[in-house]
Amino acid sequence: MPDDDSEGENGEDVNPGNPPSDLAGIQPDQSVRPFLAPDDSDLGTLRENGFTAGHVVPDGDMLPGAGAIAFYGGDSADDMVLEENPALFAQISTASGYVYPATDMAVIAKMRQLYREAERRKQLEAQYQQNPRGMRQPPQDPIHSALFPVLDGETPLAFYADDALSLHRILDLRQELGFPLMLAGLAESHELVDALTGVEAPLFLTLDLPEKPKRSAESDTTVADTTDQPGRYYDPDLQTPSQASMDEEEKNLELRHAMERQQYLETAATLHEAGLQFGFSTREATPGDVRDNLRTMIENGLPEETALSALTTRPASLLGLENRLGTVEEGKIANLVVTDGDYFDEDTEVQHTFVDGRLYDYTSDTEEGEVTGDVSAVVGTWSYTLETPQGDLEGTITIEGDQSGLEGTFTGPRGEEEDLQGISFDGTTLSFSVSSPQGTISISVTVEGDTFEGTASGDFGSFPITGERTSGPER
Amino acid sequence: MTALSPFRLTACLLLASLLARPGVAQDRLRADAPNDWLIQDATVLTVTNGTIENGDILVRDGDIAEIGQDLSAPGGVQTYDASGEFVMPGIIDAHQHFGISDVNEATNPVTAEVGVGDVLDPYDVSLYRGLAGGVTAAHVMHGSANPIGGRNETIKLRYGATNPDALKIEAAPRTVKLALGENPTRVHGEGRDIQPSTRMGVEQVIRDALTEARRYQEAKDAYQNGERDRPPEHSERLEVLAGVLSGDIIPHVHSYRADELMMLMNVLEDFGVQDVVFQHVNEGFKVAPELAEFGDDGAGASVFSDWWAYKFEVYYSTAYNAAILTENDVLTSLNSDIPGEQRDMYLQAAKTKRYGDLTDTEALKLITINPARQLGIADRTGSIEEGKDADLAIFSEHPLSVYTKPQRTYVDGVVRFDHEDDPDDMRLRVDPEGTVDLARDGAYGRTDANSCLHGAFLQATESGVTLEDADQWNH
Repeated sequence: MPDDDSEGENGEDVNPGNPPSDLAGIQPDQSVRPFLAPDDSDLGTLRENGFTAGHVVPDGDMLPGAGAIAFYGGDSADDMVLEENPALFAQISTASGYVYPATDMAVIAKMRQLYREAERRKQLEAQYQQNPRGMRQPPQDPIHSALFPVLDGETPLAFYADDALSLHRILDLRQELGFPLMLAGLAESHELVDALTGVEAPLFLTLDLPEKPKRSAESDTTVADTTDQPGRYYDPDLQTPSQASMDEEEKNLELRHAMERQQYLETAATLHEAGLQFGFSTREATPGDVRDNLRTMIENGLPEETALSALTTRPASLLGLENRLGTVEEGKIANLVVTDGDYFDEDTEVQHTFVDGRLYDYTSDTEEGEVTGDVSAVVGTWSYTLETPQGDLEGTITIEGDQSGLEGTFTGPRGEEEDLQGISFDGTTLSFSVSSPQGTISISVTVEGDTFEGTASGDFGSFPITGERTSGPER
Repeated sequence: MTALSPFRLTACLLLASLLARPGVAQDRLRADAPNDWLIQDATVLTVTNGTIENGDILVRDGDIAEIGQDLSAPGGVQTYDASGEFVMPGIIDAHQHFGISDVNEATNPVTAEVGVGDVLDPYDVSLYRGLAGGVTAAHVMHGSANPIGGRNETIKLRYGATNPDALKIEAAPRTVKLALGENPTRVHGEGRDIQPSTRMGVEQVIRDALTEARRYQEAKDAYQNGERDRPPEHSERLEVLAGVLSGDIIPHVHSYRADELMMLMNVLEDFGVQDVVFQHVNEGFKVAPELAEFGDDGAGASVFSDWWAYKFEVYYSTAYNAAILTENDVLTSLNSDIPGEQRDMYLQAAKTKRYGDLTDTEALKLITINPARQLGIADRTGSIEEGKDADLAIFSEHPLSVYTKPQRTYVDGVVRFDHEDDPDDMRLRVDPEGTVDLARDGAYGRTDANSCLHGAFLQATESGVTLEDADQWNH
C-alpha cells in the first residue's frame, strides 16, 4: 500500500480507524448534479442506441450521494435534469484507501451506525422544533441530515449490487433497518429469486453479461465453446481417480463454467418467469453492447414485449415518472427513438433519437451523398476558416473522387482527421457531415470558383465557414 | 418423407435440454433431501450416555426421535445400514474462519461493531470439506488483528443452502472476539505505531473500551430514567461492548501466555464479566486451576492438539495441554482455526489419548459436547440424545482410530456428506468469467489460507514495518 493512501487531501496523516467521511466513502450529502455532462461519450453511445433518460448516480464507495433522473442529452447539465434526488446511491463497497471501512462487514456496521444515529438526531430535531425553550440545539451535520428523507420513507436507498452475497446482505440490512429500497445490478439475481419475491423494491437488471470463461492453465486462451448445451454433457458425478485422467476433469469443469454462464444469460427470463418486474441498468455494461446483450437475453427466453417494457414503461413507473415518460402519448415528454426496423433486430439501425424534443440524427452515418454537379469544381485541397465566438478555427478539407461519388477528409484545427460523410454536390452547393467529439457537424457551403462560403451546424449551434482551394485536380 | 421436419428437430432438442437441466445443481443444494432416517446396527457413541452396541437411531423431522436397539422404520422413513460402523455426534469446531467473506477489520484496535455473521458465504466449499470430516457446526470467528475484533457467528454446516441466513444457529448466544499478545501489538503497534505496542497496551485498550461502554450504558440508563434530556450518541461499537458487560455477549479471547490469561481474567473480574472462553491457550496448562475457578462456571479453553512454535509466544507449549486442562476441570475443546484443518478433527482428538491418556469419551467430548457448551448450543447438539438435532457423523471405524474414514454426515437429519456420493466438483457455483480452476492448480498452503491475520498483512521494508491491505497481495 502506498503511503499516500492514508493521507488526506492536504497531506495530513489520517487515522485509518477513523478517517474523514469523504475518504471513508460516506458522502450522502453530495449530488451527482454537478457531474452531469451532456457531451459524455458513454452517454452519446447510449443515446445512439436509443436511450433517452435514466437514473444517473455519482461514482464513489458506500454512500456516494444523491442521483438524478437525467435526460441523455441537452446543451448543459441543467438541461439534463428532470428530477433531483430521486434516491441516495449506496453500495456494499469498502473505502478506496486502506481505511475504515476496509471490509464489507465494516461497511454494513457503518450503515447501521449512520442509520441509527440519524434516527436519534431526527428525533431530537423534532423535539427541538416542537419546543426549543430550554433545550440544547440538537447536533447537526450534513451527512446524518441527508439520511432524514430515507428515515421518513420518502427517499429510497438505491443499492447497486451484482453478486448474490451482496444482494442477500442488502436485503438483510433492509429488513433490519426498514429503509425504502431500490435495487440495481442483480447479475446473480437468478440465485435468489425466492428472496427477491415479495420484496417491495424497484429492480433494475444489468445489461452486462459475462464473457466466455478462460482456462487457468493457459491464461488468455478462451475455452472452446464445447457445445451450446453444456448441460447435456456435464457429468455432476464425475470422480477423477488419478492424475492420469485429468483431461476428463478439465473438460467437465469447462462444461460447468459454460453451464453457469448460461444461467446469467437467462437471468432476465428467470426474473420474468418468477413474476418479478424490472427495468434495466447500463452502469456496468459497455454502452455499445447493450443492444447485443438485449438480443442475447431475448434469445435466452426473455419475451420481446417484456424487454421493450423493461426499457420504457416499467422504468418509468418504477421511478414514478409514468405520467411523463414511457409511452408515446400526447402531453408526454418527447423522448422518442426512430429505427429502420424492429429495435431488437440485429440489422436494425437507430435513425433518430429525440431527447426532450431535441433531435439527434444518426442517418448521416449511412446516407449516400448525391453528386450531380461537375466534380472538378470541388476536388482538391481546401483550407477553411470556421468563425466561432471563441475565435477562428482553421484546418483543411481534402476531396477526391469522380462523378460516381466523392470522398474526403476533414482535418481539424489540432490536426485530427475525420472522414467526410454523405458528400453531395449539385454544381453550386457542397454539403457533407463530419463526426466530432461534440456530435455530428453538418457543413453546407456555396462554391464559387476556388472559394466557398456557408455554415457549419451541430449541437453547439451554427457558425459561418469560409474556404479557399489551395490545390486543384490534376488536369 | 424421410427427413425430420424442423418441428420434430426442435422438439428433440427441447426434450434433451429438459432432461439435462435438473440434477446438476439439485444434488448439491439438497433442497428436498429427506430428514427422516433410521440408522441401523451401528456402534453409537452418545458421548453423554455411553456406548450402545448394535444401536439404532430414529431421526424424525431432523431431530433424534429415538435411540435404542431393533427399532423399526415407520412408513416413508429411509434406512441406512450402519452395521460395522460408528455413529458419533456431529463434530463442533469452536474456532474457524471458513464460510465468511471477511476476517479482520484491521484498521482500528477496537471494532466490536463488525460481525462475520453479516458476511457469511454459504458458497464456500470449505464447509463441504468440514462435512467430509464429520463437522456439523462451527464457530466462525473474527480474526486476531485487534485487541477487540468483531462479533463471531455460530453456524451449522448446511452446505447446499445458498441463503447466508440459513447457516446461522439463531438461538446460539452472541460472542465477540478479543485478541491478546503478538498479533494486535504487531498490527497496531509495529504496523502503525499506535497503542497497543505491548501486552500492557493491549490490556489498556480493552479496559478503556469497556470503561467507555460502561459510561455509554450509564448514559442510556440515565436517559431512560429521565435523568438525562437526550440519549447518548448512538454507537454500534459500544452497544456490543455493553452487551459484554451485561453478559449477553460472551468474549472469546485469542490468547497464548499464562500471564495474559491471568491479566484478562482480572480485567473481566473488574468489569463483572462472568463468562469467557479462551482460544488457543497454549500456556493454559500452567494456570489450569485458575481457569477452572474463574467466574461462576470457570473459563473455557479451546486449544490446538499439538500445534506450536509458529511465533515466539507459542514456543512454551505441550501436546498434554488439552489433557491437563481436562483433568483440572476446565471446560476444554479442540479447534482447527485454519481452513483445511477442519477435515480431521477426530484425528486431533485422538492425539489426547496418546498425550495424556484421556478416555475415548473424554477425547470425543473435546470436539462435541464441550465446544457445544462453550458456544451455548449444548441443548440442541453435541451429543446423541433423544430430542436433540440429528447432527451425526458416521465413521467406518472408531473415530479415534487412525484407520477410520468418515462415511456420512447428517445435519438436522439431512445427509450433507456421503462417502458413496462424493463427486469431484462439489462447488455450489463457479464464477462465469473466472478462470477454470483445475484441482491440480490449487496450491493449498497454510500461508494461502484465511489465517487469523487474514486482511491484515505486515510488509517489512527498509523504512520499517507497515500494515498492508492483504487483499492486494492475494492472488
